[in-house]
Amino acid sequence: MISVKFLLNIYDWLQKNVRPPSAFSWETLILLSVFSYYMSVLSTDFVRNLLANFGWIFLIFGVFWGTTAAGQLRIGYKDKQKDGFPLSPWITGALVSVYIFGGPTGEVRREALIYWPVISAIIAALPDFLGERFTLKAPPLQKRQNLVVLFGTQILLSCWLQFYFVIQNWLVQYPSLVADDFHQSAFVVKWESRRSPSAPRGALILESMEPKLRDQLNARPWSEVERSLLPKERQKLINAIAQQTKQQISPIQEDNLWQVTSNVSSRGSGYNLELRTSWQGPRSERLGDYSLTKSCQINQVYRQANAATKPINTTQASRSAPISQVQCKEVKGWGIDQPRNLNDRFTRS
Amino acid sequence: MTEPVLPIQTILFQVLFLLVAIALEARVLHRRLRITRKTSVEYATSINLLAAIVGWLGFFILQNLLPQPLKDQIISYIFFDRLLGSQPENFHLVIAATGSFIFFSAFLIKLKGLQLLEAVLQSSPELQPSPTLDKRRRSAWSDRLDQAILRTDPHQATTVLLANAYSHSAILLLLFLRFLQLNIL
Repeated sequence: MISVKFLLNIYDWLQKNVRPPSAFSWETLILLSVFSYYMSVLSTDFVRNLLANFGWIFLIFGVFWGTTAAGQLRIGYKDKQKDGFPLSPWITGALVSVYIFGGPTGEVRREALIYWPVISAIIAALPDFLGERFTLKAPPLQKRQNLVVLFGTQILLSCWLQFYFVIQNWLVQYPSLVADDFHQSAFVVKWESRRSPSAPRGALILESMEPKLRDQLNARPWSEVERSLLPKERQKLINAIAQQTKQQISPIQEDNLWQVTSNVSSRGSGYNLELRTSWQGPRSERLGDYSLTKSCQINQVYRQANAATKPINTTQASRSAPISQVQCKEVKGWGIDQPRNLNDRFTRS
Repeated sequence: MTEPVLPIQTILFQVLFLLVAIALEARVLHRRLRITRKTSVEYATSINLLAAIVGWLGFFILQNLLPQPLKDQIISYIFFDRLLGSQPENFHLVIAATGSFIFFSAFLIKLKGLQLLEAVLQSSPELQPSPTLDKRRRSAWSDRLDQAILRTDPHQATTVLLANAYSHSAILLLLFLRFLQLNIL
């Protein structure tokens, strides 16, 4: 049981530390914001939204006031003689951009990071643009040059951040590029991680093609299988299966840069079907081998009919009609068992 | 993404090129336009930032509108510093045309930027600020903007052209040094 004295102690401590020095100070706004947030948790739908938004707005104004007034948040501040470079617009700008781009809903979009410098510049320039009683006015002459440089540098920062997201977009659309080597690039750098990297997308394509190939070629009469392994038929079959597979695995931009070809060689009493997909897109070495192969063996097996299921009047030939059996191996090639940086070939044994 | 890919070199190269360009152009502006060193550095900073921003905006618009094979070329150039596939026959012509286009558009942006800046700062030599009523001040302001955009002072234009030529030559020199470093050393 909590004693009354304990509660009184807490109340005293709160009164001493958290109480704002006067009603008109930035701490009031922060307290209002906390209060609004607490109220919003307790309420439902529309009122909750409203209170959450109010909470954010109070927080923004409170932080703006507090950080602008504080002396420690400037670079190079010495008493009141040297004004230093204020950090408060950037802190407030971060809160404003998080609020505008999805803060209350909890899911912050990437525009928040991209527009943060611009919003901070606007906040920093606001005192110069607001005259008496919050009317718009032209800023005084001597500050205009500084404002121009301020806006210029911040918009340039936004452009750099946007470029980062453009590159991320490209890497989502062309995931096989991540498997490659960026050492020659004049624009980007890649932090290599210790974990084993993900395989290029061609491996996914070949793996997904395997079940469909099995459907077509496994457990079929041998003559049918032989016919479909002839060059023309085989080409059509492989192309059709490749198209279907690419549609099936959530298509992205780079899919039509993986060309699937096949090759058949005879091996013993059966055939060796080699599926090969090679990367036609941007790559770091012009003459390197950027292909992945999957080899499948197609053998003849003779199905042994049971004595019980054999009809009385079957002929000798149907009992020993050969059918096909397809066995596929793992995908091999670039990015899987070959080194990712093709320049490091000399380190292989 | 398992491995982050960051455009750090882009930022560093751009900062380097901006600093070199600002230094050279400030010197040319100071000597030829008879303005103080501080003002010339501020002017050079402003117009170079403007040119950089317009360049980035052009890049973003371009990479949205291009057809797919050209986009593959751009991606290949950015990540691997080479062009995909065989080079077309008029490759050198394309390079020369692109270089000239970049030079002249940078010159035009910088010239108009300088005139706009002087209009905003009300410091162009012919126009004196007149301290009068609001109405007259507003029409003087729009007049000033009109004059800045439509009329061109030839001395100022040749100065900006010369400054642009200096800074672009310095940038080409730096790129050539990088090319040497990558291929020979």
